[in-house]
Amino acid sequence: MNELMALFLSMALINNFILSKFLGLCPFFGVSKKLKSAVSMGMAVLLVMVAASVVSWLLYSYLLEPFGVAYMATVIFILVIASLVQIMELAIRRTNIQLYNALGIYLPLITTNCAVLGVTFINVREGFTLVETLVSAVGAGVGFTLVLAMMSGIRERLEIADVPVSFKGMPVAFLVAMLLGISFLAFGGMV
Amino acid sequence: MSVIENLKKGIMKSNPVLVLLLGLCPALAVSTSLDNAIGMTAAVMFVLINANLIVSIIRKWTPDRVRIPVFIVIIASLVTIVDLTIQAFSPDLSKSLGIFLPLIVVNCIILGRAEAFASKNSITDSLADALGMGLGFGLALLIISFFRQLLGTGTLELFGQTLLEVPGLLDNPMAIFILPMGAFLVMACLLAFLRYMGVIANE
Amino acid sequence: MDKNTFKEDIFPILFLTIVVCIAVVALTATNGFTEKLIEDNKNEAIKENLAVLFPEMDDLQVNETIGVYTILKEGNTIGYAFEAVGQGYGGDISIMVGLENTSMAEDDIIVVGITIIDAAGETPGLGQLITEESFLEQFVGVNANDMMLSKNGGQIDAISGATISSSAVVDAIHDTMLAKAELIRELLEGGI
Repeated sequence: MNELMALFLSMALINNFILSKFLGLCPFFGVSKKLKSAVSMGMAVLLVMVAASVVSWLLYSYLLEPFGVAYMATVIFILVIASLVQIMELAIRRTNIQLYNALGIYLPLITTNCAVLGVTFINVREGFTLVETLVSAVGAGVGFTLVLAMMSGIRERLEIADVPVSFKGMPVAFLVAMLLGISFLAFGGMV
Repeated sequence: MSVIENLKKGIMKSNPVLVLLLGLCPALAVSTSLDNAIGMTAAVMFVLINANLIVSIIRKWTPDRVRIPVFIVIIASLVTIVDLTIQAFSPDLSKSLGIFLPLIVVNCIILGRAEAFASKNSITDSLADALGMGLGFGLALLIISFFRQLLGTGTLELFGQTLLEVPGLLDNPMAIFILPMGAFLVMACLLAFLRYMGVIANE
Repeated sequence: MDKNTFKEDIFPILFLTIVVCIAVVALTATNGFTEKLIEDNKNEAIKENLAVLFPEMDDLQVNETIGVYTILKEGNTIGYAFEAVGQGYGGDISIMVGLENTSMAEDDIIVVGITIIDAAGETPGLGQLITEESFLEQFVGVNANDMMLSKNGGQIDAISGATISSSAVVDAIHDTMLAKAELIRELLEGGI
């Protein structure tokens, strides 16, 4: 139990995908202007991450590895993610139109989100068990959502701040990311 | 647009990393040393050029409905080929690029160029576009890793050769530049500088 | 068959199938080319690491069931080696550990030396300092009981600023060497 908790904390905070692994930077800078859309995007990523991790882990352990075709992993994983995103989009649209309106536009973007493909690779490369895979996917997703939400909160305030012209917009967003990263260093001693 | 223009636009006017802000993940993650930057650029170039070439060749027969899945399969296969080749011939490079090598699949530059350019343009134009975008990506990576390696370690090394040593920095390097935060800092300053100089437009 | 059905429904699927088939063929061919080279690289890396630890080694035996390399010189065992894996700052750190040929009793497990096989996930200039000679040479001749960081009463000084990476290495070696020593003891007693 303790080890799973440590894994969760490590994935969510210490080795945060955005701030220390550089995974999922495109949505981080693209969708982090409004708090509401940042949280929706984070939730959508979390959902796909968990589903993709479990499916790709099962495929890798019971199909690719036993048949000695582990080199197909990249192709298979990206196809798994692309189809999961499609299926989820359909399923959410059929069952919960409110949720679809909130998450809908972000789902297609997730196919090319390297955080999702990244977590599936990390799971098989580190040789995680199914339970560990689940925990690491949830941890990565929670950490992603957390940082995305923090960033958007800060950027909402930055909109009205007096920033030098050359730094306005993206450059100052990078500076904020740096400061967030430094503050997240403090989690390093937790595990 | 002429071939030269297609080539040139990727390097500066619509530089994928510095202007379009695409492919940031690998650009920031592997820019800790010049060697990594060059290795990553070579891998991305190979995939980008071949993907643009193949997509452009089959563009007339590709049915619209399965366009994206077809592109993804092509790109993922090219990436796997590069991944295996680097593992076979340069295991050290493969180790230091880590998961960012297979993650080239989701590098927005590649799918973006296949979808936005190669699926609509001739083979020559697509090749020029890929070459330009690849060089632009490489240029950005080299600039970022130049500052990160120099300030973060005090030396500048290329393929095991020491190019430059800064005496004071060597003993007390500013380690933050090698840490992930350093990448954000360099990127922020670089963008602001390029805007200040008027190379890229302000927001 | 309606011509439209073919164009709208069947052709796209057919096209995708053909692309996938070509991709599979291309990948299988590439894998065929590179598989042996990649395998060779791995074995070569292991041999290189072992040669650093045991310069006089002229042969080695791989005992796959317990994951231990027996190092031989002119047919006699001169030591053992195994891989230890620690959870570093940014991923796994794998370490090759060499042990002296001793009785492997609990207070008689002595390190010949260690090399770092893979620390690519560690921060260059900080965590990656664990690959430097000044850190590695501290491990030479250390007994299992002293295989701890000096702040915990052991013999190994952590690299300042890289405590996580340092303790990952030390802890991994400590735990793995105890486990492997027991396996080696059983092996020598003919238990395995």
